[in-house]
Parts: sequence; structure tokens; C-alpha cells
Amino acid sequence: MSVALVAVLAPLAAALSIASLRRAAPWLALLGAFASAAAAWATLRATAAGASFSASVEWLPAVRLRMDVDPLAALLSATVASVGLLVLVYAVGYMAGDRGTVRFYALMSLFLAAMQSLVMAGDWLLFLGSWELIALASYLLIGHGFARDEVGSAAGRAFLTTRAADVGLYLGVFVLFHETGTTAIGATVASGGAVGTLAGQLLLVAAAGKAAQVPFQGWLAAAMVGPTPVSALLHSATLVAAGVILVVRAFPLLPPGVLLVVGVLGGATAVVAGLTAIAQRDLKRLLAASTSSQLGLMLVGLGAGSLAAGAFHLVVHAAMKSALFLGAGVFQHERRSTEFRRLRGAGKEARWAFAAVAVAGLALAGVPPLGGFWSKDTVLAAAFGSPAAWLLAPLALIGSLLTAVYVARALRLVWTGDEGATKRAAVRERGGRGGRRAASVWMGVGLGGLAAAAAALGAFVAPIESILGHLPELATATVLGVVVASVGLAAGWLWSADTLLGRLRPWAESGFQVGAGLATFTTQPAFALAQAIDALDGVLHRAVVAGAANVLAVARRVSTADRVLHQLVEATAAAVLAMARVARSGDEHGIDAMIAALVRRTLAWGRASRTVQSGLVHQELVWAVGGTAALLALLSFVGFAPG
Amino acid sequence: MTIFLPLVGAIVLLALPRSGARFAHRVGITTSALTLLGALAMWWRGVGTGFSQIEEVAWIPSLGAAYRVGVDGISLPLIVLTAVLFLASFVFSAKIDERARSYVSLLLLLETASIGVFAALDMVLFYLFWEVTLVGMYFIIAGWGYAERQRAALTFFLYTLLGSLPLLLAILALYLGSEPRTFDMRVMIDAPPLTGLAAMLTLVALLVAFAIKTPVVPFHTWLPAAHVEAPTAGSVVLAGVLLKLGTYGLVRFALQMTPDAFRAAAPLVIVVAVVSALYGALAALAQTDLKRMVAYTSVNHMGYVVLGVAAAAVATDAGTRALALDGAVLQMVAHGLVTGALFLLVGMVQDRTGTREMGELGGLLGVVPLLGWSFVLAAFASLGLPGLAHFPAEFQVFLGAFGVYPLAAAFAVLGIVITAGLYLRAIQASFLGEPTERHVVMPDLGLREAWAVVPLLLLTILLGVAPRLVLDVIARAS
Amino acid sequence: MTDVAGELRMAHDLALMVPELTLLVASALALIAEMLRRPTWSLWLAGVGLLAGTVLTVPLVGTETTVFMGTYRVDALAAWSKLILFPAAALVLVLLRSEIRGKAREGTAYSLLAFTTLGSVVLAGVGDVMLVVLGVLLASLGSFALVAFEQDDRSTEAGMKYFVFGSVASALMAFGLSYWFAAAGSTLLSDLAALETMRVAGVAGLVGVVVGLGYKAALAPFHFWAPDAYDGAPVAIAAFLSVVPKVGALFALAQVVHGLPDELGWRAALAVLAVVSMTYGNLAALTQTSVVRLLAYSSVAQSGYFLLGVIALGRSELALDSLVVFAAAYAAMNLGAFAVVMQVGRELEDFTGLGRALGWLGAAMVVFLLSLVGIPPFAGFAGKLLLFGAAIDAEFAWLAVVGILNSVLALAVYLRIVVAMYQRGARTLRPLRPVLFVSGLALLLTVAIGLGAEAFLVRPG
Repeated sequence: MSVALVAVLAPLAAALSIASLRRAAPWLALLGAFASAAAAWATLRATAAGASFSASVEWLPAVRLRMDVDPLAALLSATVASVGLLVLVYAVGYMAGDRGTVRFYALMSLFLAAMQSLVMAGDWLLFLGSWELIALASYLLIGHGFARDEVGSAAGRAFLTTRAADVGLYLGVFVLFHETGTTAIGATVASGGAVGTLAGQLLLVAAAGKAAQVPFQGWLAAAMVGPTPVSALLHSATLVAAGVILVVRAFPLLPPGVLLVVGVLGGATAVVAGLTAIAQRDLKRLLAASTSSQLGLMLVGLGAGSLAAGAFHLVVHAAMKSALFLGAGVFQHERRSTEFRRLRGAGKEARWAFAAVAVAGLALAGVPPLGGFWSKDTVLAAAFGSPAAWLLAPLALIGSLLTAVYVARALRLVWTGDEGATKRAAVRERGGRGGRRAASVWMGVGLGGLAAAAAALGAFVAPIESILGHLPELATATVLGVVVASVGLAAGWLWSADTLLGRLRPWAESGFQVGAGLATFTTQPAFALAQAIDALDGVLHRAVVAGAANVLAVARRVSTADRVLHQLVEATAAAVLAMARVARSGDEHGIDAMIAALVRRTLAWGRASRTVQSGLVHQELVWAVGGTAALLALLSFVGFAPG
Repeated sequence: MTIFLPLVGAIVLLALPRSGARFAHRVGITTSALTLLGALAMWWRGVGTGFSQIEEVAWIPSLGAAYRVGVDGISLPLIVLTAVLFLASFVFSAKIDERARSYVSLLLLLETASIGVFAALDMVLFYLFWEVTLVGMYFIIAGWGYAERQRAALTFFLYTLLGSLPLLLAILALYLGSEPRTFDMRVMIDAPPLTGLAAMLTLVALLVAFAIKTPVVPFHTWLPAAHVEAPTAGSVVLAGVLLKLGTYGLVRFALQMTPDAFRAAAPLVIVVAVVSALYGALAALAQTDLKRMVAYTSVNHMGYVVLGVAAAAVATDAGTRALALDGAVLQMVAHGLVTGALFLLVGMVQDRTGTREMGELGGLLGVVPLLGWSFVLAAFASLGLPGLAHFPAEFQVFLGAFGVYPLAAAFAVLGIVITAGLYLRAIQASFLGEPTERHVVMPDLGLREAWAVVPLLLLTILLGVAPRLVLDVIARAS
Repeated sequence: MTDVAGELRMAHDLALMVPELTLLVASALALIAEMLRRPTWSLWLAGVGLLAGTVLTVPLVGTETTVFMGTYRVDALAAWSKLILFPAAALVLVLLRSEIRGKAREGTAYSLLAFTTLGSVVLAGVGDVMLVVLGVLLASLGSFALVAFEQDDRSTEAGMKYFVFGSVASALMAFGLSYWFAAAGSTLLSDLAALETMRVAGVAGLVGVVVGLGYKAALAPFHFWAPDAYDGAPVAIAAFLSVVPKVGALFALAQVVHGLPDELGWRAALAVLAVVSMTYGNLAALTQTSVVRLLAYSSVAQSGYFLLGVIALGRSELALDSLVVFAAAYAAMNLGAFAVVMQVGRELEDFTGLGRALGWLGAAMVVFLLSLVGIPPFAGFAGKLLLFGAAIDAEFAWLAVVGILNSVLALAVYLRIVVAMYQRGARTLRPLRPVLFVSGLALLLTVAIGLGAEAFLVRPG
């Protein structure tokens, strides 16, 4: 286990030391990534040889955090580590001169650590934790250039969309825990039946959100505002791949019905995102849409029942897509933009970069014998072999066709065009910058390494099969795949997007938004609800205040009434006194009479004394004392006389 | 004992006449630091099953009331939290010159009362400390708040007194129901004295009392009003400590002294808790004032606490019960740390810019990076990100509640999306983008501010990474 | 009974009445001193009489007996009334001295005050309906004159109103009590159980006694005289009236109803009266602009709280305790509040900035007011805790709820003063030493009674 742990801890340590030392950031990050990669490969070797790693620690009283490394996890870990390392190498060149490098490298390292821990997670809590940390790191990375106004909202949108979908993950985990009493992935995925259906569907929601599947695909394009190395990492082996990894992890749990949903979802996304990609006017946005579509193909493979097909495509796609992004970054450095409008002919200026992009692109399109051909072939084969082949196979084929079309279109747009004008502009810009040569070496190494991997992965089908298990094969699928790729490449090279899509293009370009996109159905109602609640809260508060005000009003009325009553009482006092006297006269007998008489007379005297105004308190007092004496005498009399 | 340490400090301060503001603050910081040490000593001494570190002094023996204090796994973390937050508040407040002596004395009094509530094992003593917190907070808001402070303080005092008086009735009912009559809370917990209708009526009184204090919808409207006008340290204490009194009472009284009635009423409580959580989150989403927003998120987070407690009341198996209750207590601690930090940071923003309106801010992350990143960290902690304090707490609460009322838990989980949305929106509006022209240059975190807020953030991370540090203590009680 | 035995008993009885007799003598001597134009002697005589009375009462605590054929009780209420009201009256003397020093007829006031106090404690020990009437008269006559002491228009009018109300109420009471005598054939309160079968007479008498004592205790709706009287009288006298005769009357009510059969429905009647008093008093106080009138109305409300304890008599063992503790608490906090008013002024606006100008006096006022609301750890809380407890115990939980709601209202009332105190607006005030003394002592007592309520509980152990 110790080796596998290094894969997680090395980038984490790098992140922490970068954050605390605040210097030598690129070197520390590279060191961490290298250590991680080395450990991951060592782990892969060991697991391929039959070893398995496991470790756990009790984190909450009822929940243990576990790491289980099986061959599949080791393969994914190695993929993540390798892609991460190469992207970082590239970034050393790309990010030179950026002011926020400390933050950038710390977050990239954190991101890698979280991803490694997700890949190796053996229980749902660790998975969930890593999953969310990835979301945090990507939020901050996408928001790297936060001083630009659109960056914040794009980063927020990315985080929010995936988090909304995460509710599915939370609930799915709750269902599984409730059913099995544990969060260990291995134990929970064994529970089938109704639980599997329910939990599976919940998990699928989360996976779709993370993997930018229909209907969550919109955030991915917006996330392109991050630095290109970030995009490369996010869109290949990490952030979005986490969605697919979730399905891979939950694969044993999913009953056939849910698997069909997975496949259809993936197929639909492959088609929709493929069309979206064709319509894009920006290279990075095209690649973003392409990511969705390729992840869709992976889900088709999984949905068709082949874990190996989906995982294989995941690995290969990681290399291809990161290479494509890194190439786009090279063009971006040349032209300070990724819009096709400004990239016309850029390929001819940076021929080595274009070559790498072309290799990776053709691999993505499925041209043999490049890596993508093999993985796509297994996906197609799986789709044809599935019980729902009638549905999945056409979707997969169309997805492949569209892939070839947009790859060809992108290559054409970057290669052809107004060479002279752009060259002059480029020379002008290049004049002002030094140190670019050193930078381009770093970038070249990163890009070249990934392109080579994209090209050569096909040679490793056998070892990969030994790790993942049987990869589906089908001659029909292979033939159709090659045909579709050729047709697509030709079409993409020959025809413009407008020709291909016609009136569909504007809608496709927006990612087939309905209204203002997903926001129409989620954010806007949420905000409306929030406003309503706020208004309600105001009403509540005013009601409380009004309640208090009412009390105050009542108090005022009481006060007034008090005065009126007071006068009333005063006015009737005399009358009452008289009445009392009358009433009492009928009641005079015995000792009572004596008291009454005494009272009456005392009162009368007292009143008489009051009516005269000057200094008669002495007299009053005398009366009082006299009265007291009399009463005391009376008391003695009463007390003793009967004795 | 630690409870009265702050009070001693206050008395010392008042006894020394005409001392300057600096001296007053020094006394405040020293005393609260010593109190924290005392609390840590209590932590170190630890708790066994049931109540530990008990002190008992006869007070009104013929009524069965006595000075009884002690701690268990539920109250001890809250006492330490209180000590931490007060120290942070004192450090942060050290800039206040206006009537510093009175300010520090009041805050120290408030600290004694707050710790007292958590430590009290006698219902009369509990109520005594409980009410003193109201008085102290009233004067803090009324004396050192913002523009509308008198009105806000009045609302706060009246509303929360309305809430605490039913508690008095409930205490009396419990007292009269006990045989022989006593105010000893341990006796009540070991053998709940009331049954049937009396228990239910008592529970209703308790629920009203704690619903207002916690607060849950629809009794929460005093909270934003009070927070908006309260001084920063007041807000920290109010949100971080005083709101916990409500949920602590819910556990100590409603759950432990009228368990059967609570079980019967739990469905209703759970509905209120879930509504509260979602309502608070949505209301926060609609705010444009940072402080109001944070205030409303308290309603959301405390809703989760109530949800956890209610789930614990219903849960039939010990595992689920412990899960929900542990989560609820941990959530109290987490909310104290995180919300305390958030209020401090919002206070710092207001000190610098003179406004809390998101629309008037922007780009602060570039202008004051330390402050900005601290806010981002606290915000992500508040929205329940793993690795930070709220996550283990909320996860346990949800997990526990799901075992009892899956649907309620499912609705409650939606809250995490809304809180994510509202914090991202706040970060985006206030900290990202171009800085507004008026706020291009301002000082970043000062030493005093850093000493106040950084420990809270570090504890937030510590709690998120290693929740067992606190959970092991909490678990002794549940 | 032989003469010897009678004499022995009389000696014994008189021994049990030493405190009252001491005060009677002291008051009479004070009066004589006034006639000799020696007001300072009057003051000292009255003061010494009160304090001596207090000291002499101490041995009587715990005695449960009656004297003079059951007409006068020497029990817990009687003893505690002396222990509470004598020192309270003594404190009033201190205030009064500084307020009226050098005025004509100064000594009269001291001696009247002592007489009125005597009347009040007699009320608290009544065992006979006749003594009720006597006590009310004794407590009233002096009060009328005290209210009118200033002799200006306002105070004279106030005195007159008070007097008129007093006459009517006393008359009604005497009238009603006559029914009891007729029906029960005895004037002893302990014989009133016989009223069980004679509802009409019983109710008539009850109405009478409630009116008479209710007037004295300023229970709504017999309170109309109070705001005017307090407003017209010297502040010290207002303080006196709000405490001494009121507590005497309420204790008398307790003595009277204690022996009544439940069938008369007196508990329900008093409960209604309590609700009316509490609510009405607080509501009316809420809008006053004069602090004296505000305190007058609030004292109406506080009388309502007392009734909770009265109602619980015979049903809850907390009832007696609650009455005693609350009386002590009420005396301390109310006197304290009035002392501050005497220093600061009668109007609410006079209080502006007090908290900033005179920090300690302001703080003391806050304590008195919070104690009046019933916030712990002050005396008022201990009293209310017991009162509510007694009410719930006596199955009047709803009444406790009403009381609780009224506490919120009361807080709103008193906070108006606090808010004013801490508003800006500096005033320079030179604190009067007697005020500082009285308010300081009251502060001490307010805290001490709150924390040491044990000492006031009637049955130890």
C-alpha cells in the first residue's frame, strides 16, 4: 500500500509545501507529480502481477475511509499521474511570466492528489470527499484569472452544475449505506435489485453532471476561460473523467435497465455534443464539446455492458485530449486567442505543434493504427454486442462520424488560411517577448509526450487487456468504424460547418440550449424562489413588528380608557358612597354596626378635615391617633369581654 | 472553575477606575485567553460516560436547586468553542475605543454566562445563565452596534425573551413533576419525570423556546435584524455561541428530558427543520448584503442541527441515533467556527470599504488577497466542502436522518446546492472581477485581524480533516 | 377562664406583638416630637422604631399561632411582612428626609409613615374581618395625608382622589364583610369555612374584601387612584405607597382567602383579577411619558403577579414561599427604582443620557428594571420563579402563561427607560448621598435576594 499512497501523498505534499514556502513552485509541483507518477506505475506493475493494496482508517465513528487498489484503479492512477506530469511539464513553459504561479501550481498539485485519491477510493465517503475537492480545485483553477469579469461566473457555473448533480451522489451513497450499513464500495455494489436501480440512477445523475453529459453539458464550454493547461488536465484524465470513473466504480451495482440508461445517455451526448463541436467558432470550445462527446462514447461502452471498453477509451482519450488542448495552447500563445478566425494558418507557423495535434486528432477520429482507433473499436464492438445494439450501435457510429468531422474541420481551419497576414502579426508580437524559446521547450516536451502516447497506446492492447479483462472485438464494428472515420474526415475537411449543419448551426453552437439553457430550468427558478422567500421573510418580519405595534396601539387605547374610566369613577364615587350608605343602613346590627359607624364617621371627619385647606394635618393626625386608640380599645374589648 | 474566570476579569476591570481602552482590551484578551486555557484543561481532563468534572454547592436546598455544574461529551466541545470564539472576538475588538471598559466587561459577562449555560446541571442555574446572555447581548448591540442599533437590540431582546419564558414554564413543569422535587438536570435525564399530556405540553413550551433561540422558520426574523446592526464581535458571539444555546437546549431538555413526547412530535420537528434549512438557504440567496446573507445561512445550518436532533429522537437503533446526534453536535461546533470566521471577515470588509453591499464591492481578491482567500476558504467550509468542518457534520446528520426519514434527508440535501450557489455568487460579486474604483487600495489583513480569524480557519481545517478529535468526545455522551 | 389565666394569656399575646407595639410607641413619640418642633427627633424615633421592630421580629420567625382569640395571627406572613416592610419603610425615611428636609410639618410625615407601616403589617397578620377593616383604615388615613403633603394643587388633588377612592372602597368592604359575619356568625377568618353552604353571602363578602384590599393593593380595576397619587406625592412617598401598604394588603388578602372554601370560586375570581391587573397595568405603562406614572402602572401589574401566589394558597406548598420572596424582592427593586427616579427626575426625558453621565446609578437602575421584569439572577426572578411554580402546581398553568406573556410586555415597558438612559445627551448630575445609599442598598438586596432566596423560604428543609 505504501507505494500507492505515495501517488496520493506526493502531490498533496507538493501542494502544501508550495503554499507554505511560496517559492520554487514549478519545481516542487513537478517533483510531486513525478513522484506520484513513479509510484503509480510501480503500483500498476505490482497489481498487474497480482498484488492488491488496501488500507483503511476510521474517520467517523461509523465510517471508515478505505483505499483499495485493484488493477483497474492502478491503471487509472497511472493515467492520471502520467497525464498530470506531462501537463505540468508543459505548464512550466506555458505559465512562465504569470503572476499567480504559486497558486496555480499549488492547486494543480492539490487537484492531482484529489484525483489520485478518487481513483483509489475504496469507500464512498473518500470518493465523495475527493470528488468535491476536485470540484473545488477546478473551480479555483478555472477562476485563475479572476480579475476578468467573465471568469468568476464561468467558474461558478462549473462548480454549481456539478454540485447540483452531486445531490445524486449524496443520496445514492445514503441509500447504499442505509441498505448495507457500510460505505465500503466493494460491499455496497454487491447489493442488487431495487436498491441497485435506485442508487444506480442517483449515482448516474452525479456522473452525468461531472462528465458533462446531457443535459448538464453546458458548463464545460464556459469553463474554457481557465488557463489552457488547466483545460487540458480537466478535460482529459481528471475532472470530467471522474464522472465516468463513478460509473466504472458502480458498474457491478447497475442492473441492466440502468445500464441501458447509461448507454443511451452517453450515445445521446455523443451525438449532441458532436454536433455542438462541429458548430464551434473557437478551438477550445470545440475541444470542450468534443470531450463531452467522447465521454458519451465511454458511457456507451459501459452501458453496453463492457467495463473494459469504457475504461480503455477513458485511458486513451486522456492522452489524446490533453495533447489536443496543449497544442491549442501553443497556437494560443502564438496568436493570443483560440478563435478559429485568428488561428487561420497558425499550424503552418508551428509545424511541430500542428503535427502533434494532427496525430492526436486523427487518433481521436479513430484512424488506425493510432491509439484512438483501438479504443473506439472496442466501444463500437461493445455497442454492437449489447442486447440493445439496435439503439446503441447507431448512436455510437454517429458519434464516431461526428468526431471525425470536427477533428478534420479543426485541422483544416488551423492549417489553411491567410498565411501572410498572420505571419506578419505573429512576428510583430514575438518581437516583444524574450525567453520564449525556453518556454517552448517545456511546452514541446509535454505536448510531444502526450501525442506520442496518443499514437502509441494501440500497441499496448494486450497488457491493457490483461488488466481490464476482455476487450470486445467485432469485425463488422472495425470495418464500419474505419469507414465512418474516413467519411467523417473527408466531410470535415471539405465542407464548412454551415454547409454541414445548415440552419441547425446557431442552435448547435449554443449547445442546443433551450431558452437560456439549463439555467432556465434551475438557476432562474431558484432565484425566483429565493426572491419570493425573501419577500415572504419581509412579510413575516413586518407581521411581527405589526404585532408589536398592535400591542402598542392597544396600550395607547388602554391608557386613554384609563383616563376616561378614571373620570367616570370619580364622577360616580359620590353616588357609590351614597348607595353604599343606603345599602348598609339595612344591614346594621351587632359589631358590624359599630365598625360601620366608626368607618362612616371617621371618613366623614377625614373628609371634613380635608376640605379645610390649611395646616390641618395635625388635626387629621389627632383623629388618626384617636381612631387607632379607639380601635385598639375595641380590639381589647372584643378579645376579652366574651372570655 | 473556568466559568467565572471571565466574570472575575470583568470585576477587576470595573474595580480599576478610569483605566484606558488599551488596558481594558488587554484585560479582556488575557482573561479570555486564560479561560480558553481553562477550557482546554477541562478538555484534557476529559469526560467519562455521563457527566464529569462535577461541582456542586448547596444554593436553595429547600427547593432542590443548587449550584451544579459539570460537562459531558455534548457540552464540553461547546464550552471550548465558546472560549475560542470569545478570544477571537476580544482580539478583533481591540480597536474599539468607545467606552472600552464597559464593552469588555459586558463581553466578559457574556462569556461567563455562555459557558455557564453549557456547564449548568441545574435548571435554575441554566435559566439564570441563559437570561444573562440575553441581557449581555442586548447591551452589546444597543451600545456598540450600527445605525439602527437601539431598535434592533429591542427587537432582539423582546423576541428572545418571548422565547425564553416558555423555557421557564417548562423548567417549572419538570420540577413539579419530579419526585422528590428537584432542579437537578441529571435526575431529569436519568428518569424523565413527565409523561402523557404534561410531557407533551412541556415539550411544546421547550420547542417554542428553542425554536426562537435556534432559530427556525418562522421564528427567525429577529436574527437578520440583530446581525445587521450588531457590532462584528457581537455577531460572532451571537451566531457562534448564542444560537447554539437553542440547539443545545433542544438536546439537553427536549431530547433528554421529554424523550417520548419528542419522539411523538419528531415528524413535525423534522418538517420544520427541513423547511428551515431550505428557507434559510433560499433567503440567503436573495440577499445582497453580505452580513445578512451569512445570517440567513445560520438559519440553514441550524436547520440541519435540528434535523439531526429530531432524527436522533426517532431513531430506534443506537447506531443511527448516535450518527444523527454526533452529527448535530459537530455541526454546532463547525457552525460556530465557520460562521464566526465569516462574520469577522465581513466585518473587516466593512471596516475597509464602509459597505457590505455586494453590488458596491468587487475584485477584492486582487486588492486584499489574504482577506479574500480567507473568505473563500470560510465560504467553502460553510457550503460543506469535504476537508472542512461542516462536511463530516452534515454528512452524519444527513446519513442519520436518511435512516429515519429518507425523504426529509433528500430535501435537506438540496440545501447544499443552494448554499453553494449563494456563496459562489457572493464571492463572484465581491471578490472576483475588476475592483471598483473606490476600493483599489486598502490594507490587507492586519496582525490583530489575522490573530482573530486565522485560528478559526485553522480549526475549521483541523475539524474537517480529523473530526474524530471532537467526535470521540461527543460520542461519550450519545 | 379565670382572670389570672386571662392575664397570663394577655401577657403572652402582647409579647408576641412586641414589634407592633414598639412601632406604635415609636410613632406616637415621633408625633409628640413633631409637636415639640423637633423633626429630626421624629425621624430618629420613627427610624429606630422601625429597625427595633425588625430586630424584635426575628425571634418570631417560625412561630405559628394566633393572639387575641384568633383575631390576629403571628405566622409566617405576619413575621415576614414585618421583616420586609419595616426595613423598607426605614429606607423610605432616608429618602423622604432628603426630599422634604426643612419643610413645614416635616416630622408629621415621619410619624405618619410609621403609623401607615404599622397599619400595613397589621393587615398582613389579620385573623379577623374587623381587623381587616381596621388595618385598611390605619394604613389609609396616614397615606392620604402623606400624598397631600406638598399642599400644592396637584398633591392636594391627588390626596383627595385617593381619599375618595379609599372611602368608597372601605365602605364597600365593610358592607360586604357584614354579610360574612351574618352568614358565618363569626368575624374570625378561621370560621369562614362555614360559608361553604351560603354562597350568596360568601360571594358578597368576597367582593367586598377584594374591593377593599384590591384598592389598597392597587389591583386593576381598583387602581385608578394610584397614578395620580404617586404623581402628586413626593417621590419617596410614592415609593412607600407602592410597597408598604400594597404588600400589607396583599398579605391580608392571602390571610383572608386562605380559609375560604373553594366553592366560593375565589381562585377563579382572583385569577381573572390577576390577568386584568397584569395586562392592564403593563399596557397602560407602555405609553406613559412620566416615569412615576409608568412605575405606578407597572406596580399595578406587579400586584397581579402577587395574586398568582395568593391563588395557589392551599394547593401548592410553594405559595407562601412565593409570596414572601416576591414581596421582599419587590420591596427592594421597587424602592431602588424610585430612589433613582428621585435623583433623576419624574419624566422619561430626564433619563436621557443617565447611563453615560452616572454609570453606576444607571447600572443600578438597569438592575432594578431587569429584576422587575424577572430576569435572573436578580430578586424578581426568584420571586417570579416561585410564583409561576406555585400557579402551575395549583393547576393554574394558563395563568402562568399569561404571566409569562406579560413579562415580555413588562420588558418592553422597562426597556423604554433603559433605552433613554443610553441615548446620547449628557447631563451633569451630582448624586445625592441618600439616594446613593438607598439605591446601593437596594441593589445589594436585589442581588442578594435573587441569589439567596433560600433565607426567605418558609419551611426550611
